[in-house]
Amino acid sequence: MSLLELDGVSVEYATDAGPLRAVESVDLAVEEGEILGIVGESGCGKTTLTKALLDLLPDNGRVVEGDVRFRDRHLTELSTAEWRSVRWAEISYIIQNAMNALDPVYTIGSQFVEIVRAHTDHSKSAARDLAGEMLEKVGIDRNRLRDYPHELSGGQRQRVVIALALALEPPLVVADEPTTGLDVVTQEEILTLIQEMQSSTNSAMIIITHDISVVAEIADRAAVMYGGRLVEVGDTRDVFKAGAHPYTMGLTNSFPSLAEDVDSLVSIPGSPPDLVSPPDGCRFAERCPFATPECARDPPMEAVGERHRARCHYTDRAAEFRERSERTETWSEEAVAGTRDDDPGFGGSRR
Amino acid sequence: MSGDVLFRVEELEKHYPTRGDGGLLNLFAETNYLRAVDGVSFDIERGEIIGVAGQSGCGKSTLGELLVLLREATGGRIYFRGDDVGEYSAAERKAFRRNCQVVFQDPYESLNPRFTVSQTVKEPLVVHDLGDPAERDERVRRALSDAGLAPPVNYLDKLPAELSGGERQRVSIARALVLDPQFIVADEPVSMLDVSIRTEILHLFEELREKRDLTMMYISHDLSTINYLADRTMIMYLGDVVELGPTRSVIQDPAHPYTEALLQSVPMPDPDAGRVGTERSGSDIRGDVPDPVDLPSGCRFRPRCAYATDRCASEEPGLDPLDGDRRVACFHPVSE
Repeated sequence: MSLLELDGVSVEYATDAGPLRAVESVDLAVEEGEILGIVGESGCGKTTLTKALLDLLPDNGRVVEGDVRFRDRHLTELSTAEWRSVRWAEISYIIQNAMNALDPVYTIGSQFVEIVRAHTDHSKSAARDLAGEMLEKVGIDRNRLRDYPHELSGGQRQRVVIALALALEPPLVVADEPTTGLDVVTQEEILTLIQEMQSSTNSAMIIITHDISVVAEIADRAAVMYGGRLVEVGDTRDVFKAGAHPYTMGLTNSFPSLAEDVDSLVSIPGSPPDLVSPPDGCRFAERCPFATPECARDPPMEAVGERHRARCHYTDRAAEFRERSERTETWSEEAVAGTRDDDPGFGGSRR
Repeated sequence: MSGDVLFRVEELEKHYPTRGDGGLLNLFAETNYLRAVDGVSFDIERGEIIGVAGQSGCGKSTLGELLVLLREATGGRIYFRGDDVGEYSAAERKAFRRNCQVVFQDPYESLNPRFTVSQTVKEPLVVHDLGDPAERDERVRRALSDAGLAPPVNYLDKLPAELSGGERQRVSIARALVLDPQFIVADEPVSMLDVSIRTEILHLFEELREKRDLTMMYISHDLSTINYLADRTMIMYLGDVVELGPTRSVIQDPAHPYTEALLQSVPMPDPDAGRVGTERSGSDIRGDVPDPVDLPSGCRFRPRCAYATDRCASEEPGLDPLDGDRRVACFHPVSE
């Protein structure tokens, strides 16, 4: 049995323009002790999905379909009181902008002690000892427990937040953009730390990010989201080296690298679909250089390998697409518009 | 490149006084200085894009702000088209500010959420009292379409909340373009944007350079985007320039040990070539960068450098010519 299982989860927000389905029928599992990277761009639904599984959706959002199972419990059915015992102890959350997640008017130590004591029967001094131990594990002197958050640098605060999230050795840790906003050197440090801490506690981790290099570097498996749907999932190496969804290909080819020059850098024309009235069929078709009239029909999640699935009608042509996707002309606006013009089913650009 | 110099910067300095940790005794303590920018000299040629790279706190953003007079330098000189900007009259200063614009990092925070696109882009014209209403409208439209928001009429009445991140950054760029500047400082203009649209913004800067004869300073902690855009690249560490030269040679064949280490931290979207957990050669720059208050003797990178010798502790290396157009502040430059 997987540690966490999402089964056909859909999430809707009530908006002035009508219901917005930010996440649509996502099936995804997290195994004990693994790092799963969920990658996608702004508005793809990755943050909504995690908020849904942590019961942190804003008032206008709710899970309208599907089931979230954590071990033997259905998370969508837990009461607020039950959630209180699950958070930190069983599932902890490293929020986006974790640097601002610490309360500025309490010392690092008192924030640790409060969380530890709320979830365990540790005495105050035992909680403080644990806090000191955790700080040292993340490379910060235990005397800093007396410090206020503003006395630490950005990188140190990030490390404190990671120490807090792992203090109670929860079976699952969810981290939302843990390295966004940090410089490349600090980024690398934090990723190394997350990897070390994760392997010492053997917690499973979900890392949500828009940065595919983060997933490439530390995730065991990668899930790619686009327009509210899961479009590809598999072992990290398979997704990056043998991606089967054209969006994944566009994403990996648009990442700047030191070895190449600007002419080889791809950008995906157009913008993500409007989720108030999403297009029928494949949500990426409008921006896809390989789209055909067939794509007006919703593609199923196809098995590509044993642990590798992609939501595309043409997974059998993935090798050919991968080769073509490396060329910038494949992604030019004209080329992509050309695939649309072939078919009256697409009403031109949505922008 | 035309070869004429737009900016000449000499020994530019920004030192902030710092006063210990508070308390009465500080009254009698010596004032220390945080040397955000510590005596840097370089030229910017007309029409070039110069990249500035370094970690948080290295002084790269302060340098950009000093250049366009958003902050006052505490020492050194800036010459713009041959004139010392420190000697400018109030009117000349205003004209200079019109000529030199900034694009900031965060397109979510740098736009007024209650201003429409049209109001945002028009505001600089109002502040500088340029043009009649018809001219202003025309300039706003031209700036929007040059920034890739075409046709402008689709965007004029939109509020920032109705735009995507990429579109917002294009609005910031249009706001900078509307005054027809000669020089733009872009401080991490793509680091908040999704990867698939970063490329478009980088291409946009290249197009603008051609189309509007712009000169740019492109500031980023990420050498991979600098690699795509900048003709020359400057590497900063603790307030000083440690290496400066053509981007290709700085990135393909780094001479300063710090540049070498910084390059090893550039993320790669390849599960086989990651940074994390791999063995590497050279200096280890992980851990927090010290504050530029108590600088070490000699070379400021010495305590972290894998190649440091006694000479590096006693003497401070200058930014000296290495090969071709490259300069490096190191007694023991890395060679292949």
